[in-house]
Amino acid sequence: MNGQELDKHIQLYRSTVYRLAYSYMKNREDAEDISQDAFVKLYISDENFASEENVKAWLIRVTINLCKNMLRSSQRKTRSELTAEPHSPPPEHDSMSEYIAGLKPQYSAVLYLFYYEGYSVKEISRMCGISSVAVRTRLSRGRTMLKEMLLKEELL
Amino acid sequence: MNQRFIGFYDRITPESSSEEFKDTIMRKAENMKKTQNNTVRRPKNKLLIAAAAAVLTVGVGTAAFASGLIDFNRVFGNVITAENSAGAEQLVSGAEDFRYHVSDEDYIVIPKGVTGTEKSVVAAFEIARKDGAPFTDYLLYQPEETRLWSTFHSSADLDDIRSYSSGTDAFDISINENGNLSVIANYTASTDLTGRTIRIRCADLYEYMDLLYFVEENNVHNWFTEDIHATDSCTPCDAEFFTDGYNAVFTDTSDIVLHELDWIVEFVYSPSAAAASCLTADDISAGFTETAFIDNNERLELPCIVKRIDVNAIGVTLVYKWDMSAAPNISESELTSALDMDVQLITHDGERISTQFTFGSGEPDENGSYNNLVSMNIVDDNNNRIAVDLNDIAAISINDVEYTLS
Repeated sequence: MNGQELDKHIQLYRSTVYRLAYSYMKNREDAEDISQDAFVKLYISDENFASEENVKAWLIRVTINLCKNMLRSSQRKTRSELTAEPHSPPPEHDSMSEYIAGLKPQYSAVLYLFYYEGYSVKEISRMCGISSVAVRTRLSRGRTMLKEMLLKEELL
Repeated sequence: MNQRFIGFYDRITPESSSEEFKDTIMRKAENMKKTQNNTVRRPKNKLLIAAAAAVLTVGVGTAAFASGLIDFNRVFGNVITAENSAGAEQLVSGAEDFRYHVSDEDYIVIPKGVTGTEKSVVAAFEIARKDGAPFTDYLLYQPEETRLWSTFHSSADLDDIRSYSSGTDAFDISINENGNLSVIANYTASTDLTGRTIRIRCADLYEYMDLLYFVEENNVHNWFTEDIHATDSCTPCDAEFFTDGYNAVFTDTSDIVLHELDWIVEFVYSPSAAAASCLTADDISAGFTETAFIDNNERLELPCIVKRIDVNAIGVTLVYKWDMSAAPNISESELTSALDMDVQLITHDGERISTQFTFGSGEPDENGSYNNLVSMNIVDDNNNRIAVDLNDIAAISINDVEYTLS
């Protein structure tokens, strides 16, 4: 992939990758790191993509893998333990950001892909490597968790 | 809620400029290339690769695999090219560990082949009795792309497979008291999970329950311990986790899936082996009704078209499709099963035996669409798993619709 193509894909998909990474990692620093790594993989990849949509799906899949790896990694654990300051919250810090931060990544990521990116259950199941039933379950549970949190807010 | 959710993500935008971002990527890519050039590759396991390639050149789906139990045509489809790739090397090398750790001396593991592309690899192994009689088949696969996924319903990360194949005491296989295959996976990782041993014991794997994922998704937040006692259902897959003295038991495969334990125990339990002790419903023309939830949690009683009902001594596999013509204004993707099916076995004496939901998944149909697949354990009144004599079983009732079994 040449620099010009990389430019184009950054313009088209950087926000998607960043938001998806954020939905897993819950902080901007890790989301930025993951985004960089995903695009590095794209840049050095010798994939022949049939369409732009395939590029996007590939990036999403790679991003998910990178997030899972980072969540599992001892590097993250060490960094979390060593970091005295908590990760910086979004500048627009509000109750919704707290609720989403409170959701487990497997729920927030599926909710993000379904509601924000508009992917179907089948598409998400392929991207995340889980069954359609599992996607539906996560959507349902994720929605319920968010609803409960929002309801609590209204009651307060 | 949706508006607030979408509005929140609208505000999550990268902070660095595109130029800065691109510069960082170029720099990282350059560093990566330098690192790769300095890395010494492991010697290839030429013998195994050559053997695998030789098998494949004879032709997948032909006599070369006829002695195996797996339906290689179903599994491999049109993707049958063997590649001497890094991924293939990794998988086939992993088979050596696998062979080494088979504990039951009556059984042996035979690498059968590897196929795929540079980025998407499947390796197949046959588990046979020492007298050569095939018992079942085993697959490891690594689809970086989604191409093979639709066949398998699942995927696994190459890193996970590496973890598996480089882990110590990875797998022990034995035959349990019910005559089913039991897998005990001891994983003492040398990297991510230092000091933590996870033991997963899978038993009684059902026909078509051809994958289970086990992944400790986040050992930092220790998610899987949070809900671990929340379930008391019984399932065909029990897993024991030993984490720094913490001893917990997973008793529900749906929990295992929920917790994304996608950790490379993928089993294809031979359909032909299972068929020897399996009852089926021949007349499936009658449909039953299932409760589903629409996105807004509204309940919907949805007619279901039965595709397959199988019953073995310890469980039930039910494949069905929602009849969406009954809800023309609703997309299937909006629906979530209530998973509250009432499934009972009926003996020749009219006695009813309960089952309990254990596992939900999907199965692609001939049109590229998906059927719902659910598995049930056969249980007693206290929800303890039991085995039944199939000679005693006459029929099955699904949400009050009866099907004769034979």
